[in-house]
Amino acid sequence: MKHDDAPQVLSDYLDRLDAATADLPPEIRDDLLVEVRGHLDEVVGRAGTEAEIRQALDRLGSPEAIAAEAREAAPPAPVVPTTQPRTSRRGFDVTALVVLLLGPAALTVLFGWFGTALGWAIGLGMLWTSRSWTSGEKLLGSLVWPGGIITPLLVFGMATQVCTSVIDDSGVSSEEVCTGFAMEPWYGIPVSIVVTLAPLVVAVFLLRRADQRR
Amino acid sequence: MEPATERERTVTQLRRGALPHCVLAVLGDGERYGFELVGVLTEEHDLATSEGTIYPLLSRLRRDGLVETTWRESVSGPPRRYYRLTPEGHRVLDGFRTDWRAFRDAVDQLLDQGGRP
Repeated sequence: MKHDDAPQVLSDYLDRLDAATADLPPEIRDDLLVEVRGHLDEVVGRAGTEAEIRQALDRLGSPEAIAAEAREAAPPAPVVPTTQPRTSRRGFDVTALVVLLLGPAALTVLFGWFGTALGWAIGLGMLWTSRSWTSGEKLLGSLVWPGGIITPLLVFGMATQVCTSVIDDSGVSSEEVCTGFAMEPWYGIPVSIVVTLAPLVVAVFLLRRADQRR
Repeated sequence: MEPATERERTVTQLRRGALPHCVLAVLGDGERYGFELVGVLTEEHDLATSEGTIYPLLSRLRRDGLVETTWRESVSGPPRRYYRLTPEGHRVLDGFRTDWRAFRDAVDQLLDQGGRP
């Protein structure tokens, strides 16, 4: 992209568009702003000079004309939406992320390993059917980490080395049994923090992306 | 902006009536992203003077269930919203194709003959 920050002419245009669309129903207005911003991203990507950007803005038309068109196209009275309403889509997206993060852990308590897989499967199903994310973003949500927060917990469970002495009937300690493996604190602590926070960071990132687009 | 002539107003009216179906026709060949779709209609076919006024139309087509959208990654920048026809959209397009041809033929006939048999 040739322009790192939007030229003044673009911010002015967007300010005018914000003002011109202030009276539109929120769902229609947000949708229109997403579309026009996307259009302007494409313009900036293709234009080399400010003159070319101004030309593109002329072809786009005045913000007031676009707002007028949106006012005409908007339904005059509340209509039953044929697409998912915005609020229920947000609820769906939020639920998908919560299920991905916490579902496996919660269901493991009830159903063991089957619950873990089931929780992840449900979260994945909701993630991939949502219309708010690109495939790349859905892939990110699927891979970091499968199982949500239960995966870091399991890793730490295994990373704790527990050694017990086996004492036979006569009270003599015969051998030591160690399970798990030990992590040195110098890398163990940073790794623990990153591994635990990663799925939370991804979830917040995905939610913000979805909120921008809905 | 100078006031439109009567002739310009007539053409605008004709375009407005046909534009939603022209959008459906472009998408009939395959999905497009917004910027691309708007460009085809204005640059290649001169069907609208202002690109921006097509976006509210796309929004309404989506609300009416004739098109649906998906976000896709793009190599050259931010993700793009792609539009494609729903089955209902295909049905409406097919219906319009028939209706338009009947209308067009009727008008052509009158224009050629001036109403005389």
